[in-house]
Amino acid sequence: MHTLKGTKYAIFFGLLPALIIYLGIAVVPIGMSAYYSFMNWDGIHPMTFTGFDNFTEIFKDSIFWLSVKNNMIILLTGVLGQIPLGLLLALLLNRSMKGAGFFRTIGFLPVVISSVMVSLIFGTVYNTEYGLLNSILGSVGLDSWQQNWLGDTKWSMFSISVAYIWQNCGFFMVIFLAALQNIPNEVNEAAELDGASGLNKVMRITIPMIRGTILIAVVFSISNSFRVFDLIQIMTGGGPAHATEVMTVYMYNNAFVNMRFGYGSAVSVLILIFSLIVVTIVNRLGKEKA
Amino acid sequence: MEKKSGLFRTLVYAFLSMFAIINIFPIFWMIVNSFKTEQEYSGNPFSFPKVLQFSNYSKAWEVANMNTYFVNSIIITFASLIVTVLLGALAAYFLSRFEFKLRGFTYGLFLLGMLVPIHATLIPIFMIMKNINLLDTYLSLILPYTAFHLSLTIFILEGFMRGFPRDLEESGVMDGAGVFRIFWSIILPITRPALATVIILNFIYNWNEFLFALVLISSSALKTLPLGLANFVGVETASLTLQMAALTIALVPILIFYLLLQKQLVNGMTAGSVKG
Amino acid sequence: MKTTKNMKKTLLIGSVALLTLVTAACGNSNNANKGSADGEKVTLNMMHPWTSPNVDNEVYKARIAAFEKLHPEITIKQDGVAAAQYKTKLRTLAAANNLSDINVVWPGADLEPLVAGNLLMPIDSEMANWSSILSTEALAGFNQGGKQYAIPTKQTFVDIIYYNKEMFAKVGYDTFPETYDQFIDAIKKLKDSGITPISLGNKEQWPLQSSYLSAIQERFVGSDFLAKVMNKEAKFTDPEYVKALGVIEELSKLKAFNTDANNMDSVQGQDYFIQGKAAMHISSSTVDSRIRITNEEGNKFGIALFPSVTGGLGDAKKSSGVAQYGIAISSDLDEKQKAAALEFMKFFVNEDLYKELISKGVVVPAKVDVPADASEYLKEMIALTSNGTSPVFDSIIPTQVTSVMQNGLQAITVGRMTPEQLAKDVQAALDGMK
Repeated sequence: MHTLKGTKYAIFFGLLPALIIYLGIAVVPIGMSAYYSFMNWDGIHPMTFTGFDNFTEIFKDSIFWLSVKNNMIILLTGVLGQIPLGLLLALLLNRSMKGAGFFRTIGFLPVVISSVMVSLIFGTVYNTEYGLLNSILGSVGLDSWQQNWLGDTKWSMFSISVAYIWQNCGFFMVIFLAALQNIPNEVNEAAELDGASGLNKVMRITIPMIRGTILIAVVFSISNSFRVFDLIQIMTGGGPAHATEVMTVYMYNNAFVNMRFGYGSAVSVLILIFSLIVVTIVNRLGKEKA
Repeated sequence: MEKKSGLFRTLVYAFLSMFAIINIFPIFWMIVNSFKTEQEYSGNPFSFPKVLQFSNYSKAWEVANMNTYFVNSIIITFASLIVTVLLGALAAYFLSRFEFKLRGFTYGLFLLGMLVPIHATLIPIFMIMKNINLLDTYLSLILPYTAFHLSLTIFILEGFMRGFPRDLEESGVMDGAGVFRIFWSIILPITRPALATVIILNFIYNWNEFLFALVLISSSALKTLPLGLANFVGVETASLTLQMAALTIALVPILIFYLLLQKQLVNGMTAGSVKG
Repeated sequence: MKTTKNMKKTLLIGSVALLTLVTAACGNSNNANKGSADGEKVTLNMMHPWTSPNVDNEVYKARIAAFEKLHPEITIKQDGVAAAQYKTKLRTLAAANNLSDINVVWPGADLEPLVAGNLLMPIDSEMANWSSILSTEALAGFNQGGKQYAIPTKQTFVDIIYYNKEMFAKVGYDTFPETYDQFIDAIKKLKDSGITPISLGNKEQWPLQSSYLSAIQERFVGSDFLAKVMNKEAKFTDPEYVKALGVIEELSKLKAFNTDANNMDSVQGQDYFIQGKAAMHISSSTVDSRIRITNEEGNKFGIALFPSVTGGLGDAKKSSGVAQYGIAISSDLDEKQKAAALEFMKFFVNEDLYKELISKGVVVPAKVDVPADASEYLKEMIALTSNGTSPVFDSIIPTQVTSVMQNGLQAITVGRMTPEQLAKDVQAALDGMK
């Protein structure tokens, strides 16, 4: 679109520094890890080429498929939990109201505290005997709802999902707030002149205006869900009996606990492929609808 | 009509207040426990301390080696942050406002970084750093932090910049401004809310990053805060109240930083409407 | 005009960015990745897991400081890595062939790959320094292929049963049950009187393997079983071993553990016991300092070993133990560094260290006299554990097989697996190792 002289060079030099660092420190390691995925390597003995052995072994391992399933749960939790909640908060707070600034700050708190803290907190919330959740349920007479939230394999994934929503919805709130504030005032004014207000305005005017941001948020949430690690590792360590294990935890355990770096690398290649597929599909759908 | 909006308002406040309580409570809980003795905490994690143990904070400061680690964390966090956001914004500008041959490919390449499980790159990065002789230096952390967060930075900024109307640069072009000047004086100012977002995110990620710091840094003179925060947990023992004191200290810079930038997020609105 | 002004601005920003990078690079150009020896001065890197504020950690750090005072020409550059992440870092450094000059290593299965990769220096020629105070048994875990690679600093017995005397008295046991049947009887009675029989914090998964299984398998199949399994003379699927695994199932079915067993960590498990919420806790000798030695109400608690089993092939007097924190030297040192590193080792691990540790209530692998002023609790612990040592599961069995076992034990506690299945899985994992 620009017909300026030297634009080509400008593009080249503008992208170059970012590309050099990115290629050297991010892409090359990804390539190396893809290379290891065809090897049997414990990190110490010499590597041996084993072809697709690692991959066939992974596909035969039921624990891997369990971790894939858990990843899907986290993915859905992210897209269907964090994003709507974040959007709702942003819409509520993007108005002149008393205390909006306060709520915005508070909303972001869970994002800034480290996963260690989040896990400590939820560990005490979910504890069966003295945990906050069961105490509250007990005090309002809902004793029958009390559960062993993290220890019971029926509930453990659910409990983790709640912690995951809590930890991240503030982040999406901020992203959406930034987008909402970029909607020119004229658009809002025009909409109000047309008689649009409340929910009607939100659905007809606001959401379409920030469609791009929503798509970004969805993609980001998906990529996050494939990389979730700290929260689960610290809260349950993937247990009990693999019930809350996700692919990254599975990879970490194989690579750094069992010292099977080749196998672990193969898992990470699969994580990359899976997330690429999902992100591409979502991107296609998002663009088609637009 | 009046009544309805009044009810709506009450509901909104009730919802937001509950949300606020759920968010504040853990921090409050952490601060309360950071003043308790180990026995008080293990006896009841929800009680209040009988005597405020201020000494927890000095002990925590010492065990986590904060004199050194705090400074290191600030240097590494800001250095990575500045480099990432500058280079990322520049790249996002070219990717969003220009058409060129390899645009789609370059953009896709950058996006890939958001999908990679970082643990998989730990050993390769360690080997690269060893080969270019950067192990155990600030750069050994700054480079990976920059490389991996460039993806997210470019992703968010590109999406934001893409949304601007196409004729935005026209006036600049009329003035005869160069590509970089348009970037600096037209595009960047209206990108402010998104910039604030990526700056905060980069800050949080860099400030809390643990794994790379663990493996790539060996000298205690260069270690960062998260490594110090792990010092409280042994195999069979842990000093949780001290750890909470340390976590509280480590939280302060992020909170300050967020509060400062939050103004930018709000100001973004006026900046956008004036220039756009 | 305007263009140049903005060019300047861009340049300025660019140079700031560049400068940050350069200063960051230069700020530590004096970094010595490998220990260096210039002139008379020698610098040695040492990686250790002694970061948390513990009694024995303080002893170790004090000894490093004392050494540096004694040898001003040698600097020990410490890399203290939090215990939970220590092995991750050690393995990554090993994979990149970049170990520290002096390392703290674990025995047996953990040591094997480091030795196989020729990363550690054998110290057989120097053994005269230690052979008088350390028995071959204590050194065995750090001996591979007939060569000695490290010297341990402390001894950990992993299977000590701490029990609440009052609670046991309440259900009619004035002493700890001697046989497994009595043990189960006590658990049932405790349960009936509304007391949680055993507190367990198994989130990190090692307690059931290390503290429980090591002791139980000794009672059922004896000390040499694991070695036989490794030599393919026995199998985990042997009925006697499956019976041993059955103990975990029986305890789970009796609901002997606290409900949060799988989402509490080992420290929370200890706390639960110390607070009087459970009648027993099974853990290592190290935690005695927390449970009894530094606890004002420590005399409420007694210690015991896992009871005997009728028809069992092992010895009910034996405790499962492992010599820990082996100090090892990297194989990649020049002569001068090697001399300095050995000098350090001779000073660091000697009789004084063991005496200091004992006086702080830590069990040591060495034959040193227990000082008269040592804690009564420690003397009781030494008496309890001095009737022979049996191996700890994960010190013999390779890590990746151990992790199958650990996950399986956890699965048994939530009723997702049977002992038979687990035995099969673990044996398959061992057979399938490349």
